[in-house]
Amino acid sequence: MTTNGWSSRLLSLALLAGPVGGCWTECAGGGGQAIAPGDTFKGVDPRRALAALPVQTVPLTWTRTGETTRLTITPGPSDEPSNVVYDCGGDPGFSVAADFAVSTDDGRLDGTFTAKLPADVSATLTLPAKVEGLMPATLLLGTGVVSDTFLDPAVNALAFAVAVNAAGDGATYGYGGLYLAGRDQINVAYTDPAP
Amino acid sequence: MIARRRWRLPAGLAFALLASATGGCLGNPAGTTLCEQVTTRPLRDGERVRGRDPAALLAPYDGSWRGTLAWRNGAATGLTLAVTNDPPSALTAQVCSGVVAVETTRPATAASDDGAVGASWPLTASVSLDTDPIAFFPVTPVMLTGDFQPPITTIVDLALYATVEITLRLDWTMPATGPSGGAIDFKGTLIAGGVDRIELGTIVFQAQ
Repeated sequence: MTTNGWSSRLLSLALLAGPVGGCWTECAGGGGQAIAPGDTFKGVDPRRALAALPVQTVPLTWTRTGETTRLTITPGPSDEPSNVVYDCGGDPGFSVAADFAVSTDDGRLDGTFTAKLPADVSATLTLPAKVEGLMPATLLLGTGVVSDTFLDPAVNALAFAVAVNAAGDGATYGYGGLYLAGRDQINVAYTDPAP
Repeated sequence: MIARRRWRLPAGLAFALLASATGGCLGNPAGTTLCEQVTTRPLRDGERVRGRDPAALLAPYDGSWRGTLAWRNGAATGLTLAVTNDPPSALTAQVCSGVVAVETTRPATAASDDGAVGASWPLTASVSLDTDPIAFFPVTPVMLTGDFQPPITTIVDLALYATVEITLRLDWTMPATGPSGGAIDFKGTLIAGGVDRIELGTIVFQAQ
């Protein structure tokens, strides 16, 4: 394990645990006005922000076995509504709903989750940000990357978190990780864009 | 009046105050000082505090409790928790404009029938003695030591970890005179980086 590995784990945990851009989180009230898919706010479709997100394949290491593979992250629009949120100064922005498909080349992971990303009122992503969401823990049953004992969906969920950083006019995914979260907190895998 | 309200707060806060008392002063959010200095002294044999017998108030908090430990892998075993007061443990008075609390430390043991859990530790019990006595154990997780064996070692692969802590946690809500439950908790720092926290098993004690 390299220092980068440690860094990625720490960053991943931080991403899971703490908000990015505290002003949005602290001052936005009650989730704000919902914007149904396809609807606009002041003429802007918040889902335009998702155009900056790439389909990207990154190296992934299964923490408990040390095996490596590649993880492909595929963003797309969600059927869930986005929201108008307000920052500490009362200016509007968006919390944009997006679906993310995540799959590994070794076939052990193939799941989808919905996350929300911050964007300004012109539907430009506010970066850096994080993508985080929950999937059923049962996705990993029988894969051998974590004991099936811990994959009871009644007690744990499979959490994924990854950093989204600015890259030119778009975005790129950074450090991230897969964890079991709930009754337990168990590291399952980590992504490191520059191992 | 302020002091009375303070000592009638929930047991956990009261213990926190007790713990801080050795530092000198008991402060409160209003910034006033409740007591310039808390001192301790042995309680004399038969000494009563505000007409109450601290030894009698602490008496229910020793004994033996039997429970079932359900391991995470589906196995189950019996578990016995014992707190002994034979010979009687010494009582210590916390003095702050009079005796405000009495504390004692008793040997405690926990053992599972399958041999996977074995622990002994000094368990401290306290009773605050303002107007209404509040007795409590400041129950903190107890570290299990020794060579871990199944089912612990079948639930977690200890070889993955650089450091491992396995603790016994008791759910003991005062004024109940016995624990209601608990858990065996695992915390390990992975050699690969990161920290895992795993609940290895849960304990349910039989009602007294």
